[in-house]
Amino acid sequence: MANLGVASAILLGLFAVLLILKVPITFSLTISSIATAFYLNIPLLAIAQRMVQGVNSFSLLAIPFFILAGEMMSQGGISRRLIEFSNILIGRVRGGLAQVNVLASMFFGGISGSAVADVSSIGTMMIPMMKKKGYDADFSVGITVTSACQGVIIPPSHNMIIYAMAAGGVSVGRLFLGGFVPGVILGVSLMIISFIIATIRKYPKEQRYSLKDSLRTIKDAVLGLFTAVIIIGGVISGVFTATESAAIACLYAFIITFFVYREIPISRFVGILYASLKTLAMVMSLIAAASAFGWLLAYLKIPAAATAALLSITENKILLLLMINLLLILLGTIMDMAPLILITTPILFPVVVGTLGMSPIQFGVMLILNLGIGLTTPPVGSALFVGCAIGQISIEKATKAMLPLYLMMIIVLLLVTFIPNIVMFVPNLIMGQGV
Amino acid sequence: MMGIKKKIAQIMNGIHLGSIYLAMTLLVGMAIVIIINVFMRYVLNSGLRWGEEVAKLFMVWFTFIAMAVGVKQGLHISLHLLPKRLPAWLKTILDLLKDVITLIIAVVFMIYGIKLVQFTSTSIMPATEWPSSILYMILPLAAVLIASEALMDIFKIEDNPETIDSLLNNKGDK
Repeated sequence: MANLGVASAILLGLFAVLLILKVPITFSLTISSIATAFYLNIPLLAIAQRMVQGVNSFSLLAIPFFILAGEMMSQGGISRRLIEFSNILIGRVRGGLAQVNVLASMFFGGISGSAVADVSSIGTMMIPMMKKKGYDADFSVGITVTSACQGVIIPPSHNMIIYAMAAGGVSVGRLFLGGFVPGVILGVSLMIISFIIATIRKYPKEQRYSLKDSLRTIKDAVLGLFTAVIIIGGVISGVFTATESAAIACLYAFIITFFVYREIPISRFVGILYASLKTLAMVMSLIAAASAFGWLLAYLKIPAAATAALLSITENKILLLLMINLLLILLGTIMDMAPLILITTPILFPVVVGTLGMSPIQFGVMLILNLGIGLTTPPVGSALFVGCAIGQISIEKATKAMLPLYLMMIIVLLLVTFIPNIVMFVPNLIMGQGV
Repeated sequence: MMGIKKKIAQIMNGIHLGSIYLAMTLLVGMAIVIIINVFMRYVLNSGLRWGEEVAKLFMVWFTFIAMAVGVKQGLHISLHLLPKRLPAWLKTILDLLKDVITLIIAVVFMIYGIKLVQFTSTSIMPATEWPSSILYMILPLAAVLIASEALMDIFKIEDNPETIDSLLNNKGDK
């Protein structure tokens, strides 16, 4: 008779060891699932079948569509338009470009939902522009990287689809709406701190745009932002599923990119598909592998054991939530977002939602914000790395300049954790009371 | 000896490029099927009965082809907890470990993928009435691609994945 404790040790232990030994996360998940099934005498057929069935899901189809639509919009020149649009709206305050950076990231988050894409498209334009106007390089990089973190919680975000799937049956519409207020609060708090820093360091204001230019830019940007409106509107009105809305958004993005903006030739579509394929190769393989891994986690009752272990440390709700946040931040500093959502959701969901009674929507937003902060921190923060590469400064220098910005993000995270209404108010208002 | 290695690399690169194009076609296919389905449901009041099933099938195939493409292009992320500068022998061992694990996974996909295909060949999918085994057929196929990448890495057959990468990245640039 196989021992379940040994099996759990194989599953988690082998996974952790292989991760340290630089085996790709997808294959670490798969091979530790295979080894555990082998030990438990579960036919390996079940593992192969789990992996296929893990991606054989209608709601998951939204992920390729999101990524494709986002890729078309970013390569089609949406970032320049969003930057100009933000410049018209807010460029004329002190430290205008920093404000523009945050606002453009907020808009961009509605289109792409990826912090790294945000840094690379907004950052490649904003960081050199800011440096030229006399902003310090470390501040320029810092504000780009932290503001990109909004992208993962401002709706629509494909990370929320991954979470909804991992948590099992959480409303995607409610999750989208739940991310809205925290995303805006994060943006506004970054704008306030940028304003203070800009005033102290006497950063410049931006020029006024002519009326004709303004109107054209506003029209262009609003046309692009309508992609997000299609997805969110379709999902929350219940007219379309998230998958259908995302497919229509793809068609819309295709028309805007190739027939309205017309910055890139239609032959560029192959390059766009290839770029999407590269992102999806990582994300979809992870989902397949995590579905076998998650099945074994449940089979071995590891989530229940984790709940018991956490509750044995303390039963104080506030302390437990702080501990879980700290754990997620630490994990987020070393691992990327998609794998962490897939691995931590099945383990933490029972304790946070089941035992502590947090709404699954609030937990989703908290989890994703946490992991988003992780993208901006060393030692492994993909958004931070891209930002530093663009700004040509060291990670240490950027991180030091980002300390006040980190503080802001932590404050927003604590608000999201302890004040349910920050997340729940908008979903409850628009979609009625519910969990 | 050099000639054979070069030949293998050439053939594998051809297959690789072909599978990338297949995956990209499936990606567009999924979107088109869903868009047509939405259009038919709301405008013509009758959706495609088989639309969802086909789109899902495309995604399953897409995922496993993309997984194989990812092995060659190094797209599967890993952690960087070990120091950047490692002794050469340790690097060789870590690379070998990664390749062997990838190979084992490919073998499992191959053996149990074929078994799944056999087991499900008599059952049919509800809407399309295609045999359910189509869904699992991609496992052994992807296994061949994944295994050949791992083997080429182990036997140090240089395949220059960067050339394919830049070919596709720069498509459409003037």
